[in-house]
Amino acid sequence: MFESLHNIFILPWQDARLVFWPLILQGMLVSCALGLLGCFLVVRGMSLLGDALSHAVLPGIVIGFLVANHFGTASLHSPWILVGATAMGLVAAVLVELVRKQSRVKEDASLGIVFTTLFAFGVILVSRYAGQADLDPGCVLYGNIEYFTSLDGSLPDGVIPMAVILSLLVLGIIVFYRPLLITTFDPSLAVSVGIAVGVAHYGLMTALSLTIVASFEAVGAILAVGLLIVPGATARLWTDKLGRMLWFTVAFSIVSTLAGYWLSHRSNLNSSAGACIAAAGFGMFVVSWLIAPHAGLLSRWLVRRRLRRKIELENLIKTIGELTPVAANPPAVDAEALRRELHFTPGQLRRVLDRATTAGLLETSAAGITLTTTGKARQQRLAHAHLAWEAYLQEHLGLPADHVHDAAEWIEHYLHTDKLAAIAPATEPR
Amino acid sequence: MDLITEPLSFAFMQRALYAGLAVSVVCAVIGVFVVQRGLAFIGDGLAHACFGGIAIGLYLGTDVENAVWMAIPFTVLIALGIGFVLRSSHLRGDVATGVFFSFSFALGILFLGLRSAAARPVNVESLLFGSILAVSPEVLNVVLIVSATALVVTLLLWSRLAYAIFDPELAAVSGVPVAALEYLLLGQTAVVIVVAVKTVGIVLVSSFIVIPAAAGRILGTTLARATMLAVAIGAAGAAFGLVASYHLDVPTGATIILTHCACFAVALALSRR
Repeated sequence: MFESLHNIFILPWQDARLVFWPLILQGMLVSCALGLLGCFLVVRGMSLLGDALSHAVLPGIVIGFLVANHFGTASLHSPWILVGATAMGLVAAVLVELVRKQSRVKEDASLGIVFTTLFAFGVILVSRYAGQADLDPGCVLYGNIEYFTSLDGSLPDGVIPMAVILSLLVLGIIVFYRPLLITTFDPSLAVSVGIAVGVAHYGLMTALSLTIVASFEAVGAILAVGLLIVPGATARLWTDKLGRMLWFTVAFSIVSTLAGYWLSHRSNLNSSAGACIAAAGFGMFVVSWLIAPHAGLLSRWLVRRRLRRKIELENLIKTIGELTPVAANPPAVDAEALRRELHFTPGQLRRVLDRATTAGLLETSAAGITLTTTGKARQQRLAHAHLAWEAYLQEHLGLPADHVHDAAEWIEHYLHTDKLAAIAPATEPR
Repeated sequence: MDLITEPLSFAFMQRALYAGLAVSVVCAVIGVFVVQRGLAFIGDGLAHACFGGIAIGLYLGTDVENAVWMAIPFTVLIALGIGFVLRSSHLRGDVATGVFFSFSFALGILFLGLRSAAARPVNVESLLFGSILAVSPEVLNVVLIVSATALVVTLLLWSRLAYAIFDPELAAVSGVPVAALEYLLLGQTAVVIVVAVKTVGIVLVSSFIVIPAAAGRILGTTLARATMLAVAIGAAGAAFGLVASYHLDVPTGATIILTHCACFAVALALSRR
């Protein structure tokens, strides 16, 4: 048992011929850089900007390639391509803003229009200059992190530029943290406190185009989109605070890179590392979506269940009160009459009765069901809340008397002591 | 007149015209709804997602032509997954689309990698970039049937769908099954997109969904008018782009997109007057 675990989890890392730490470092640099930028996109509802930009920069890549060709340095690593692509990314960002402001279309639709158009323009450029621009779409789509290596163990070519980009990003985020935070969550507030929202927006767009183009060769355009938003989306499920979200994102990026490499190892899937990193990231997203506090499916289900049980229980107590005639020593209530009044199934009634008995709210005898002293107090509090809300609605909102009952039926479950005290002064003296 | 009849004398151009018209009309109608729902990128996302389904099909041993039958259920599942995340978390539509899209693409690459070395290598490009000029008569039939079915379903449910998408809260209160309609819309979008990708390619699908719908939206004052405008712009752009690309000798898909974009620019100018 222990040995097989050792074989699965430890052994792949010890195979010196297959584990290129420089490569893993490269993967971490790429996914941290993309992930940090992605946080801002996820919060702003522009997650697919990465995909859009990766298509939209095509004309820039072709133009950059042609310029490089003109100067006789035609290669896919030419800085002219990076310059052309980044410039085109900025053009795309300006166009998206232009279309959005000039028309009533939503931001994502405006993005969709601009990116398909620029891509079409790029395709036509490629078709016109196909002979000169030897672009390999396979590389752009797939990426191949494994090719980013030199077998003698020295640093792969892409590591230094990527490290520079990541350091600049981190520096930018630290220096401009406040303005970025405010523009991301509340652009109109940012304008009113004098932040240059436009500068922040286009700065982000420039950083994004640069990072995406630089990551193309490592992970491919489409997986870059995954690395861009999946860690951020996962972090968003765990926290509402941007600062914490950035830390979570870095952690998720690093863990999914390691998990992805492990998955792609020869003894496991023996497959593309980029794809495995993206798949590992998705796995983390799904797990977080299930178990994250507050936002997770499980915790939301628990909250709903607790609320449903509370309402069931309180309706039960209220109905017992309604079925009990006002008397010094009232008779017990018949369970079947109670069930019909509440529209409960027999099983449901039994479960609710059990919970109420455990909570000490009522007693069941051969004669039927009676409320205990605690139960009576609870019932009176509910009735008070109901009446208070009805009176509040009539006095402060001017609703007619026959419109307030249904609203009070719901609100009575949520009116706790402090809130009740806040509205009760208006109602008590009657 | 020769300018139009000459290119259309070729059988492949006729098939391209029919396929282009069918796909653009159904995408324009669906586009009006998904763009309103904040899912403008659903076309792009599902088009990439269907690559995952094709790769699973290939892994299971089907050939490239038949892998599309694996892609349809897979893409529908992804679309429903997007809808589920959308309904059950505070994440927005773009995040849900992006997460599923990158996952299914990664899955596609993994499955292609897992195929035995003996399997025939596939040209990923041909999976991703269908060409409207290479539509076979069989594929054309599938396109026509799927487009017609989706169109009929959408028109039958028109008013309820519109209610559910444009004012989900009020619709839910009036007893319209909002969630079911939304899943239906996503599911049929997935089927249309898989078939459309096979004929016109990924990027053209996104533009078919977004651009005519957005153009119709800024000019049309009612939903019906916006949809009719979207359909007209989608179909006219497809036909014009096809003929123009023949004469200019440039890629057809890109020409259609640029024609749609020109229509959008005109619509924008008209709406600003």
